[in-house]
Amino acid sequence: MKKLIIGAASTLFLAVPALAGDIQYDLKLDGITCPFCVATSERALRKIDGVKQVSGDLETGIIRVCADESVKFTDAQLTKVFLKKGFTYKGMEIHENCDGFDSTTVLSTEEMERRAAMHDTMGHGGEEMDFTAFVPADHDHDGDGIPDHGPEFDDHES
Amino acid sequence: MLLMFGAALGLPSGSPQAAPITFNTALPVSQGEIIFRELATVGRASDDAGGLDRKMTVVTANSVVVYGVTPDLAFFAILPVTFRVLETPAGDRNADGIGDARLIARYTIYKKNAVGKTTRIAPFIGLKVPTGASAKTDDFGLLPAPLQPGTGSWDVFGGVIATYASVDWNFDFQASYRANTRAGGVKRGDVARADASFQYRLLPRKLSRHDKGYFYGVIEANLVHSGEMRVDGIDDPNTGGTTLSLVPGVQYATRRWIAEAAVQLPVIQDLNGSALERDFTVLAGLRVNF
Repeated sequence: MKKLIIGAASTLFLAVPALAGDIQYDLKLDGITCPFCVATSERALRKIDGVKQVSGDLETGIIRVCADESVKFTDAQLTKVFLKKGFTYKGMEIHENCDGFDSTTVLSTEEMERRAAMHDTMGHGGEEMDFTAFVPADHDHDGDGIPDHGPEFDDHES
Repeated sequence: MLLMFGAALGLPSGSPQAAPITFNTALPVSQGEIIFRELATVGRASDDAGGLDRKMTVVTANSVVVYGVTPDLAFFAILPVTFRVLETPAGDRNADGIGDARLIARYTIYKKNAVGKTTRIAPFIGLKVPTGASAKTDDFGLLPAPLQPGTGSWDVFGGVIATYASVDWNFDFQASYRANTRAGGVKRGDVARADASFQYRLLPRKLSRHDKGYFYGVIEANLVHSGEMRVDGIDDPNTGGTTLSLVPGVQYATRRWIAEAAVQLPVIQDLNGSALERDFTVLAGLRVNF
């Protein structure tokens, strides 16, 4: 039992916590076709200060990034990062927390307590995700987070 | 004369994802990225049309380093180390050592990225450098040219690669030409080739974010035409010809490395004179991204 407690405590201490206040960016990329493509993109993003976790999805071409509030991604910055990789950055979706990492993230004790409290007060299986508009970079020229002419992606390189 | 095993393989691909095994791909190499590939081949030729009961075995380890200068421009350096043995009723003859290095520049002139797929066209140009010994001797005298680890000549080659890659399958096509020059009284025939490769993800059938690696089935075709060798200004009628090979293989691709194996089987060999026909070439390799 003692070993179990120590092990659990170590895991909680060592895990990268997805704390409230963190921001999740879902980055939409074109041209990703292989596990290596995902890995090389993840490595590039992990080098950015403030980035806590990165997780890629090959099928959708979406790279999820959990970062603290000091990170302010811009379309120009991400376009440049992924251009060097040979991929095309198409836009990002921003969430107010990193709940998208639930399935793979070991949460801090505080975060688990916070979610348990949220469960009690909401009366269902979890808090609702704060979803902002999914705006591709080339459809949001004024940068206000609202698509200029519809949210659809085209399949062509910009 | 003997078969040129060197012509049976094209440019080793440096791509760290499912890609051709016997030639190159147009898939990108990220800027500043280094990829290392080691490809070992064992080739055997024993069908002696000349009735001399000759058998030749060639074992080669090709080391490939790839560097992405920009997302569109990549440099490849290939250095083979080879061991060759010719068995004849009169005795064996063999040679080993470093072969001829190849330096290649590949530039992407067309790319179209979409969700989970990409299409690319990339011409390339290369130089074969005579780093291998080309005048080795044994007790019988000077070894024949196909047994020498190197050619002694500076040769240029070039071509174009087209690639379509998706999450489920990839297709690559390459057309290339190598102009061989004269060295030591020997001018090997020029080589024209066309290659195609189809790679299909067999496992897992359904993608998951937790996948550790993907298992691909690969089938390739190599059509190679070599001209006759000229020795001291005279064409050797027992050299050159056309070969069509099929190459079934497998690849296991992870986020950092790829392991691969294949066997190159000649299905059509229209060789000149008494040129020795190839039986098979076994290939096994590893690619690692740094």
